[in-house]
Amino acid sequence: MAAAGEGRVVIKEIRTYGNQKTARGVLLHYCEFEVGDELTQAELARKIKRTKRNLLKTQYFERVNVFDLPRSNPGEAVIMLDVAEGSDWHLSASTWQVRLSKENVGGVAVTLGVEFGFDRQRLFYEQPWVFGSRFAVGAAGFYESGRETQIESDVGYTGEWFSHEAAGVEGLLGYVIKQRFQVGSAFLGEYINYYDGRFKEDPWRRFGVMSAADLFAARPYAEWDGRDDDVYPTEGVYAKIVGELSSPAVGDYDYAGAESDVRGYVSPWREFVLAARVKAGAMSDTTPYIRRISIRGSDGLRNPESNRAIGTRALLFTAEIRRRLFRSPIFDAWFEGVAFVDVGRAWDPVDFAFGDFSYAFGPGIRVHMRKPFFFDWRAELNLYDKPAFYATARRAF
Amino acid sequence: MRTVFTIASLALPLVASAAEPPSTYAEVAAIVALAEAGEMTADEAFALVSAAPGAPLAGAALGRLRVLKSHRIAFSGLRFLEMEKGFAALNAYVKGHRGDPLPHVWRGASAFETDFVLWSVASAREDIRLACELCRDDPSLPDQKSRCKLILGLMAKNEGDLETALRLWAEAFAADPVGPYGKEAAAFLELFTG
Repeated sequence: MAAAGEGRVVIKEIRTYGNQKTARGVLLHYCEFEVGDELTQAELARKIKRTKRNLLKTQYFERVNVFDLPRSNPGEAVIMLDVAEGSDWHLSASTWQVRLSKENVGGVAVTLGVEFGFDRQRLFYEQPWVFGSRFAVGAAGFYESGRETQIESDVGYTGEWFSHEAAGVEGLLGYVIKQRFQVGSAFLGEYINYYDGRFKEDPWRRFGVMSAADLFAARPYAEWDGRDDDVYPTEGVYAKIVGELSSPAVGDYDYAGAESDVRGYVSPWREFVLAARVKAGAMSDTTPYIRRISIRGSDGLRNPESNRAIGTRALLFTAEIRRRLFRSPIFDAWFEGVAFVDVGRAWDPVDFAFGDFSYAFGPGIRVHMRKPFFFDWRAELNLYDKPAFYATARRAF
Repeated sequence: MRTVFTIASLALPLVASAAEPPSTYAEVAAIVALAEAGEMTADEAFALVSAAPGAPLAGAALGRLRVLKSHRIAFSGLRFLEMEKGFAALNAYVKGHRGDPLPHVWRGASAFETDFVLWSVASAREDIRLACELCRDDPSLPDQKSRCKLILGLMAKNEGDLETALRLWAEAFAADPVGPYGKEAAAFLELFTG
């Protein structure tokens, strides 16, 4: 082992403690250093902090400590990764869907799960990295049972609608450039059966609706996650941009588009967090209606009376102020209060007018449970215009 | 009463071999110690103590054994109920026997093992500190003093305070170098030192 230069320290050993199920390799993967690295004390302190953050963000552990152990030789550091494993059953839900997953299956960072609900069933597998490489993989199969979609325009619902059912598969291949930065592409292939439609004119050209269609799309993405925590971020930035490309060479559709999602978090006062998000997207006019951008719902514009929420262009700004209120005396759970403001709209280029943005604001309450199972629930009340209540078990941004 | 811990260590083999309901403080303490050490299952120990509900310390012992039993229950709802009953029994006993260190240690250890779901970190720390005080001047209680320091050290480590943890483990080792808790503390000292 190389001797450390003046003022520098060599990582002599990385120890692990508390990982009863999780493979040591999983812990080491999330480390920002390796045995033999030569670092300054400041670099080591920074990397220790990041390693702790990386491990907590996996959500496999309810407690993580990364210790720089007292040294017998000042130039040689021994690092201890001390963890306590948490619940590996994760549950979340929206009004129509329940998502149940088992995380860290076999202690090797594999996720297996199912989503089921009134109109969509999905089985999925995810692995954020494959041992010995920097590749992330995922696969899923899904079925969407019959669902009616009402066509929206800037003057509200147009009186046109269609129903469709679909079945398909999704795949994902990503490359982890850094712990916080990943690029890759998802692939979507589905068969769509349209039925029971009512249109004034030419549904194929306007909405991509026909009797049956094959849709194949590549969804390249780049994701930067600099947040300190996935569940309760208090500082940092998250950004993701996703494209969607479909060619008639391998399907019935010919369209392209991209969406971005940028989030920022600061904690200007103790216990308070300011969170903001901007979502924006643009897709070609030939994009089928079922693949256009939607900003509706508890993860979008929390106002059911909004002018319009589906279009080939969309812009949404959301800001929240959050505060931890108290911890449950019974379960491992804490309560969080929130006040939110949403501004946004979706449109098609021919419709756009700046005055047509919709708004929402109001209070909310959230529960984050970690034991006996991993579960998040939130309820928000829009007070703008017509009051509306949103409750979902999907985690907020 | 404090000499019962010495008696308890002598009574361990006796209780283990006889497997008869306990009748003395030392025997009850010995049965719980066997269950904690894994040399007797919590269910067996619970059955033995349940057969002598009037024995000294039985109320606290049943509470402690319920918590130990709960670790083996797979379904979290039932596990929680068993834990809740255990803490209720421990709380009731401690209320009437504040000067007895052992129930305080059991409640603190139970809280630590159950992630402080039913007994807070601050309350558990207070229990163990009090037990430590009660044990301090009694030379017949090195193992319990060592155990208290060991648990306090683990709590400090979990909170990220390694310096305090190492100091407490050193004290745990010094209190009882040949006992099981002293040896465990020594192992932690070695593991958490570079």
